[in-house]
Amino acid sequence: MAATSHPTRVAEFDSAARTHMLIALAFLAVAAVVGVLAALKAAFPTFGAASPLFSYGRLAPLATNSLVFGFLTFTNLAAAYFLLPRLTATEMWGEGLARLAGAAGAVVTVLALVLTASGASPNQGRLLGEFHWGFDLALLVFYLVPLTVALRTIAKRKVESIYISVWYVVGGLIWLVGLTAVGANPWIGGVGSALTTSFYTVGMVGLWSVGVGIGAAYYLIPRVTDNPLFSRPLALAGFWSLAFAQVWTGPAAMIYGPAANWIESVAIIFTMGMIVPGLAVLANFIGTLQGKWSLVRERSDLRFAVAGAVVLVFLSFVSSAEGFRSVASVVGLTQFSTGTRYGLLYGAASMLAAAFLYYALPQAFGRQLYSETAGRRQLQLMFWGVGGVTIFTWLAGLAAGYTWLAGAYTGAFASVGEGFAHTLSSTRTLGILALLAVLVVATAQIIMVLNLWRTVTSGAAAPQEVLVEAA
Amino acid sequence: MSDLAAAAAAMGGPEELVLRSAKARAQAAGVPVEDILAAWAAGGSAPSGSAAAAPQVEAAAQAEIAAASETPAPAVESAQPAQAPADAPATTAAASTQSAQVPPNPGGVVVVDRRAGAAPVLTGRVDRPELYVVGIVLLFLLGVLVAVVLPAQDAQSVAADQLPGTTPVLTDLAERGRQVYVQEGCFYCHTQMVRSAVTDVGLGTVTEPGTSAALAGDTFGHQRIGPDLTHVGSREPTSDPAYLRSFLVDPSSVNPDTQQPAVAYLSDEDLDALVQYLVESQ
Repeated sequence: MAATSHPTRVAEFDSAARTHMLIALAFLAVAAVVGVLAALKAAFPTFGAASPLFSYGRLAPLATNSLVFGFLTFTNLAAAYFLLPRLTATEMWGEGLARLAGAAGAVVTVLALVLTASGASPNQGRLLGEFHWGFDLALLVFYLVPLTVALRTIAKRKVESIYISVWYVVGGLIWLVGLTAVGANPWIGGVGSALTTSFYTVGMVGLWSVGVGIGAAYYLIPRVTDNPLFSRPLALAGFWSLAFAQVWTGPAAMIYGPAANWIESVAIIFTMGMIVPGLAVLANFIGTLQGKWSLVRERSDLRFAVAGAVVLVFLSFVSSAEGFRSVASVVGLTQFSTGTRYGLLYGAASMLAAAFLYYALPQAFGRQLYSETAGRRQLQLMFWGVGGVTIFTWLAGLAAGYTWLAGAYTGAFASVGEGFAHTLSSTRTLGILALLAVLVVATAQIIMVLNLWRTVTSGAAAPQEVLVEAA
Repeated sequence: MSDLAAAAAAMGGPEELVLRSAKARAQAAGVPVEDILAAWAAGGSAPSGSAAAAPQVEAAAQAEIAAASETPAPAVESAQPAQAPADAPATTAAASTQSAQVPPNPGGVVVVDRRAGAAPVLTGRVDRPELYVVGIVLLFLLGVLVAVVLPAQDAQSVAADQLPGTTPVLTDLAERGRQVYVQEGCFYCHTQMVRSAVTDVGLGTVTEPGTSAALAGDTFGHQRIGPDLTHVGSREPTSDPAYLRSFLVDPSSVNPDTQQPAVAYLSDEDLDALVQYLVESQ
């Protein structure tokens, strides 16, 4: 059996991954700055009152969407392009096309963000689905490229068994395309629209933003530790439970609302089920790290991967608790679920994305990580910052919920009209504390941007992985 | 200089990696590793292995051997001959000039991913990717059906069969105001959804499934940083358009404790439309 002898050209190999990594970092810098502005506006509503650009309704989606559709999406696409050739042992199909689609997709994303924030393009009224459906369709085309690249690459793979990371990548890309198609629908109204929004939002957070990050962590932990994956069946169980349960959990956001009772019950049950994939991932990570925990202290990528998994499991339990009707009757429609979503996006998903970038970016560019110390500081700041925002927002939700409850029992009705001043008095200070925590999160995000940018531009030379096709 | 050091210098790679490649090559060729290193140090090709020996080596390792012997690092080195010495981080000025065309391999070092497709992949049964893809797609479509389509149909039939008249009929101005409401993101802080929960006692009639079913999009919202606005037009003093208008233009002058941001930047037409929509929200 003769081996093939046509290594991928070094300049081409990982070029799509490199392009997407740089785009992701640019979006993260934007997300950090706009996130602070949005929190500032939330805490001090008179800030920039004269300009529509500083209205909360413009800043809030700009901040969240630049993180989700900018940083997390392009990091996940970079992860797809980085992992595919390595785990199929073959040259990636359509490297140039992937690069081109990434650049074009970034332009469309920037246009969608800017035009929506400026008011030139209508807000579609969906959480994470604010972009006009025209932008969604354009993005859908660009999202079809990585899916095609993945499937074509898998079709010519040189290995038999496909590693779990590939399934998270393929699943993530299928979910991204499907969610974009479903979320773009502008014609559905009423309860159907609200259900579409909840379906889309939980999918973009749980399936796409977090899912691919899990897949990347499943790759980097065995590679860094040189330990085999602890359990493939456990990994597959986690993957399929995520694929099965996550998409059913959306209507849990509308408990006691106008949707039918049966779908609320279904959503509640599957919200409980979401503990399974998180626990499966964390257990597998811990098992794989056996005997190599010292590396977690030394390496930023491992620290972020473990931290992301721990945060994911913790928030899965909180989300499940939110699903109980007794809990929802207090915290439903308060800021509580916003805090959980913040923790998932800025905590779990961002930490898993950071783990991938700290592992892969130095290899893809052939440079050593500029500063491990900066990575360590970043994680500490993310822990305190994201933890702070999440907890302060949870407390604001609990305070509001119990104030409404007390108002309902006493007849003071703190949930309506001028009685709402009671609610505001209990949450205003927490909003200011959340702003301070957002500043900490933004500092951590900027540290990562600078650290990785310095890695690209002036990190010491290091080995660069280059794939050579197997026979 | 040892053969290993000479081979590493010739190939432009770290000794550890060259040694690893040489061992794999030696195993495949059935010759001592020293012979391989000597051949590489001299700048020549390593001895060829027998065909019989090759299958004993994992495929990726063979690929590494092929890369090491037939397409070594010099291809990269020649492409980037003067870039970034290994132990000398570039200056800020140099970094900025490099940033436009990021060098993929500044050290001129090629490391073959020996374990690509091998570890950490667990071996075992052959996977069927087409079945996996079909499974992922089917589960997603099932989710769309059960979590969106069926309950939406349910809500539509309730609206059509049992609760005629629940769909609001807005004037043209109010309909435009509804668009302003969505455009300006009022739904980020306000809901228009009264639930059958204790906390919503006092907010008015519970929102039924057919509400706004005929209107594109929805204004149910997801959190209440401000109060629910389902029946804002039927309460005092917000049923008064003049009060609403002055409140929206300068909220803190009307209510010093409010968290409502001003929307004074809106045109008079948009502001009138928004006020009309809120007044008609009864």
